[in-house]
Amino acid sequence: MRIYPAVHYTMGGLWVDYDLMSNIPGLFVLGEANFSDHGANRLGASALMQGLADGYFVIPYTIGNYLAPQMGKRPAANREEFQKAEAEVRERTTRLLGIKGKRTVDHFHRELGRIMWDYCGMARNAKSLDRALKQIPPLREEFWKNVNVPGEGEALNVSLEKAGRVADFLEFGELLCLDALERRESCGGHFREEWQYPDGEARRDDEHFQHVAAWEFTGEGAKPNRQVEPLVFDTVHPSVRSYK
Amino acid sequence: MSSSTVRKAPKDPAGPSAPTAAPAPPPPAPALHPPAAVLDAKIPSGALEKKWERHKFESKLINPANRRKYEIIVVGSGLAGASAAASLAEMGYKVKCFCYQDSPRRAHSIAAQGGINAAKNYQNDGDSVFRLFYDTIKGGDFRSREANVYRLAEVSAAIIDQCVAQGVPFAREYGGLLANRSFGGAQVSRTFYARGQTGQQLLLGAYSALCRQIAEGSVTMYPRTEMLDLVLVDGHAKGIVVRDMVTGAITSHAGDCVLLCTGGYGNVFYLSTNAKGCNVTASYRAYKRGALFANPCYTQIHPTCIPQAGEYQSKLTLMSESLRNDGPAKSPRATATITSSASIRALEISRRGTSRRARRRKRAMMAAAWAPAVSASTWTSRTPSSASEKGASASATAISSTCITRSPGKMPTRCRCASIPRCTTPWAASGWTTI
Repeated sequence: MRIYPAVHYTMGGLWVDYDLMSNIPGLFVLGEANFSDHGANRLGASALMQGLADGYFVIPYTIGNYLAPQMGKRPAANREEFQKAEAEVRERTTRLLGIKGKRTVDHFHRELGRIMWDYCGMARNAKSLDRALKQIPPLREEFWKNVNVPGEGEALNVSLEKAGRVADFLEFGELLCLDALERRESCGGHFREEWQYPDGEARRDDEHFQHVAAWEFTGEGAKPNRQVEPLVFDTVHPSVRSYK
Repeated sequence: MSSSTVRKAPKDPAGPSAPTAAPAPPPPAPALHPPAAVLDAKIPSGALEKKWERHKFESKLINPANRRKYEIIVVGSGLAGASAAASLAEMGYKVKCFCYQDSPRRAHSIAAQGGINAAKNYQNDGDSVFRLFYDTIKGGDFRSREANVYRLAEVSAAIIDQCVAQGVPFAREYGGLLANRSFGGAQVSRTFYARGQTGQQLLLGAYSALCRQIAEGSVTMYPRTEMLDLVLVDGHAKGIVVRDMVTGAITSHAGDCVLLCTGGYGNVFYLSTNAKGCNVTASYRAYKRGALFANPCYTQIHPTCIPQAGEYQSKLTLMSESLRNDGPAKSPRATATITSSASIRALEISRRGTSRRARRRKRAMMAAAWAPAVSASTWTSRTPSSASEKGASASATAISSTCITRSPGKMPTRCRCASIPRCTTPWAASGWTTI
C-alpha cells in the first residue's frame, strides 16, 4: 500500500506569555495559532486538548489581568488608526486587482509549496535552506508583477481572497526557512541533516538552542530580529528522544 | 491525527548504534542575529503543581456587572475560538466572533480524527497529570515550557467533563463508562474519542455552546468575514479590519482586546492536510504589527497520507488511523476458547451486538477473497483466477478496491485500500478502515 507524507500540524505560532497574551498588550493567541505547549513536536490527540484548554479553561481566568485596568478605554472604530489600517487594506486589494498579469494565484502558491517542500520539508540542511531563501524573494517579486486576480473587490471574489493569503505565505515562507536555518540542531519536527546521530535520530543541541526563537518584524525587506526566550527545566531533565 | 514525524532514513545504515557513539556535529556558528532581548513569559513562581492554582487566585477579577461593558473580538471559530467565545460570553462579556467560513461549524477542527487526551486515569494504568505533562514535554523534544504544559495536563480532565456535559458522544464501553485508547505511541490509554469524528463532535459541542450565546445576544457572529489587519491604538491591540467576503466591503471593528484563534500555517507548503482555506494571514498581519512569531520552523509531517495523484491536486488527505495501529471494530473471532456457559452467553450477546453491517461486510469480504482479480483494476491479487467466477463476481465488483492477500484454506486477511491505484503489496491487515 502506498503512503505519502503530508504537512499536518504546525507547532510554531505567535509568541505568548503564561496568560496567552502576545508581546502586544491586548492581543491574545489561542489554539494552534500560538506556540506554547507542544514544543518541537505535538503528540497525537493533543491538538484538540490544547485548543479546548485554552478556550474553556485558561483564557476566562487570564483575560482579566489585561482587561481590569482597561475599563472604558475601548476606542471608537472611526479613529485615525482604524482609518489608516483600512486604507492600507484597500490599497493592497486595489494593487492585487490591478496587476492583471499572466499567472494564477494557485500557480504561485504551488511554486512556493514546491520550494518549501523540497528545501524545507521533512529534512533540511543549510544548503537547501539557502537555496529556498534565494528562490522565495524572486517568486514573491514575480507574484506582485505577474499575478492575475480576475473580478473586482466589491463582490464575492475567491481569487482575491486567495491572492491576499498567498501574498502573506510568500513572505512567511521566508521567515520559516530563516528560522529553520538558524536553529542549528535537530529537534522534534525540525530535522537538520547536519545534526543527527549515526542511526538517523535527531541530535539536539541543548547548550545553544534550548530556547524559543521569536521573530520580530523590522520592516519590509529587512531581516527580522531573532529574540530568545530561554527554556528552563526544573522538574524534568532533557534526555535523548528516540523514535525507535 | 498522530504525533509521528517522518524523517529521512539514516545515511549510515550500519545497524543500530548507540547515540552516544556519535561523532561531534559541526559546532554552531555564531548566531546571525544575536539575541536582542530576553523574553519574559511571566511564569508564576512557586512549585510546578501550584503555579496555575496560585495564578488563578492572583489574577484580577472583573465584577460581573462590569463585564458587559467590555467587548472582546474573537477571530476564528474552531475549537479554540468557539470555546473561548462561548465561555467569555457565558461569563458576561460582549463578544464579536469572526470566521471566514460559511458557518462556525466549518472550522477545520472538524477534520481531527484521532481523539483528545486527558489525564483521567480511568483505565487505572498508571496515568496521571504528571505523566501527561511529562509525555508532552518529552514528546515535544524538550522545547516547550514546563509551566504551560503542566497547566495543560491539569485542565485536560475538566475538558472531558465539560464536553460530556455538552453531550459530546464519546465512545463508551458496553457498561456505559467512557472508553479510552492508547494513541500516538503513548504507554497509557488516555485518549477519549468519538469514532473517527472526535474533532467534529467536539466542534459541534463548542458550536452549540456558541450558538446558545448567539441566541442570547451576547455573541455577535460574523461568518464569511476575513480579518485582514490588526489595529493598534497606543500600542495595544484594540481592533481589526475585516473584509466581508460576500459584498467585499472593508470595515473596522473596535474592541477591548483581540483573541486570535486562527489555526496553523501548514498551507505554506501548498499540499497539506489542512483545509484549503486555512491561512496565515491573521497571524502574519499581527506579526507585521509587532507581535513576535515563535519557532515557525516547527512543522509536523504525518507519515500516512493518501498519495498525491497529480500536479493539479490541491490538498492531501489522511488515511484512516485504523490502518496504522489501533483499528476499531474488528470482526469478532469465533474461535475463542469457551470455558463456561456464561462466557458462551456473553459471546452470543456480543455477536448479536456486533452490527449486522459488520457481519454483512465480513461475508462480502469473504466472497471477494475467492473472486478473480477484477480486470479493470490493476490490483495484484494472489487469489486464484479460476475461483467461482460467477458466484462472487458481483460482490467483488462492488468492492473492487479491496486489496486481498490470503492463505489458502484459511480465512483471508486483507485490508481495504481507499482508491489507491496500483497497490501491489500483499499487506497484512492491521485493521478495518473507517473510511
